[in-house]
Amino acid sequence: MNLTGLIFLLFAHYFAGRGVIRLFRIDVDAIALLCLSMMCGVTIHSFVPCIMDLIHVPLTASNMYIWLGGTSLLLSIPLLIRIKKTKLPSLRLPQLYEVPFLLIFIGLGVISVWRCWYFPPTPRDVLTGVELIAEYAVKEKTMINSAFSVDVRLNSAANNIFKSPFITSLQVIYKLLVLPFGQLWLSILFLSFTTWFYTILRQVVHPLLAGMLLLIYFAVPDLYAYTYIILYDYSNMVFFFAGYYFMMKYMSSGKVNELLWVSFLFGLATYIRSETLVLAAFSIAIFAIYMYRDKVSIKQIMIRGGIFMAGPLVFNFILSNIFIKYLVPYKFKLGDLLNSNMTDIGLLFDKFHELVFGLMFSPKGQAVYADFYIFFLVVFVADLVLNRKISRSAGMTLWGVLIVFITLGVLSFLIPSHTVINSAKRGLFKLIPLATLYMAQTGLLQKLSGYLLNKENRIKESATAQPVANTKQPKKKK
Amino acid sequence: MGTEQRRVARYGYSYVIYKELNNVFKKFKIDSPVLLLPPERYMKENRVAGFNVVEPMVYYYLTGNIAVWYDSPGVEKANCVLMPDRNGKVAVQKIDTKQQLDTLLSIFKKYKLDL
Repeated sequence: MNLTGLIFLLFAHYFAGRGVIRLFRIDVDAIALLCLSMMCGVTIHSFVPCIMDLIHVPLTASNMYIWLGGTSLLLSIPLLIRIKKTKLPSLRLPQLYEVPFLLIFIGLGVISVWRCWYFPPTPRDVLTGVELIAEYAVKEKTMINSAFSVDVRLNSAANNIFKSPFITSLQVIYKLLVLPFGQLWLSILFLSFTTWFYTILRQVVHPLLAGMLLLIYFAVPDLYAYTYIILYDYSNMVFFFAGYYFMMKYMSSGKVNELLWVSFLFGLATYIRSETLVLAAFSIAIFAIYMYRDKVSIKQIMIRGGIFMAGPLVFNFILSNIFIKYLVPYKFKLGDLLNSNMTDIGLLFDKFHELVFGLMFSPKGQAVYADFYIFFLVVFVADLVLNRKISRSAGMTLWGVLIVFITLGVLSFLIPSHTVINSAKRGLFKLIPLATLYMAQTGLLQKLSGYLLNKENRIKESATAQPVANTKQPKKKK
Repeated sequence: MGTEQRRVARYGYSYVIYKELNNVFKKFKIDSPVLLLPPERYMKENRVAGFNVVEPMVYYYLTGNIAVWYDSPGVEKANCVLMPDRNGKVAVQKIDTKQQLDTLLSIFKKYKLDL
């Protein structure tokens, strides 16, 4: 493994990502800033090999260093301009009761990173597409290479060569600069996202409950497995969640820069998986409903909706009309993939039935998601019964859960190759962090959180009062 | 373990066989091997255990050599084939004539290709 290359990439991702965040003037705490910088940096850098290839720059290690270094410098200009305002992060040590959870998370993190580093990629979807192209891109110094000379099976089963160059590019970068199997970029995304997600949960509920919720999130077997299996769904989930989370924040702040940031994040999610365009379109309904409730004018809703959709549309254009069009020497026909019998609404209900009973609540679902959905439903029902109201923030998150569920059912109806058992199975990952956040936002956990916080404060107060209480009074002589 | 050993650990017995084919091609003096891959079901019917027939793309990824299915473009260029032997193991046979190739194709076409 080339450690110098890895260190270079870590710095490059950080500065590129942080520069972009500064460009959008997003105000987040130190840990969130670090995590979001890494997440954005990794994804933005995945554009670099594509651009290099489009302008016929050979994909060599030295060229990659120059281009990634140059891109990072360029993107960190907003950071350099306002360098005086750059604050050093102030980090807080975890509480003692957080330590057991953190040890578990560190243990799971180490295993995941080790798997990424040690074993070669295995999923068929990448070996018959993006990984194959990346392997020969490194050997032949171009992404249009001999991988396309073999039988690529352009029939119903495999559209793998038409998938986003997101993984191909990152594999090229990491194979050239770090190690032959690449893959470590996924570990960066995984560690950054998990840390950020934990900080979000900590802000919503008591750290003890946040730790428990993250443990439930981690206990989803397939979601954890995809932290070391390179496919699109984990990365897509990361950016969909980030987009949706900041969309909820924008609903309270109404700041334009935050709306642009949301649009950008949904754009990145669309670039990773183009189906996210449909999810973004569905999310816009929630966006519009909440703004209408907040008495925003129809004209303003339309303008803001346009800004919201601009990111996903622009990134989808770049993906389909530039990268795939010019980097894949075959023509992609979406029409061939669409359901030829759209009027059969019964099929739509069949897909939803399969999604619920053939996947989520089935023996297969048990192996894939363990008891996550059951746990979620128990919390949901218990909260409805005991509290009988859903807060605005919890309601918005719940809408997100519903949007993911509905969109996946609709996509499986519209595109037969988007199978419930494979595509929707991984697509449901997007639902899991939202459902976890919703559980944290429920009145039930909020009350429990308040109780724990009070208890903790009382213990702290009594501990500080201890020396006074211990002061021995001189015994009165009888 | 080195990277190659890790590949063996991950991809298993089939990978070892595919890599070993390079030595067989040298022995047969085939400079540009185009391997005809049998359908997985055909191998299973002939009691080949523990061996996965991969797709031409995966074969190219693992070995850097070209492989074809019976319905692939360029199947006429196939000059060797993977076949089961009497002991349920995998063996390579050289295809010398068009007649040999046609016979093999007619056998394989009876089986559906599972992707």
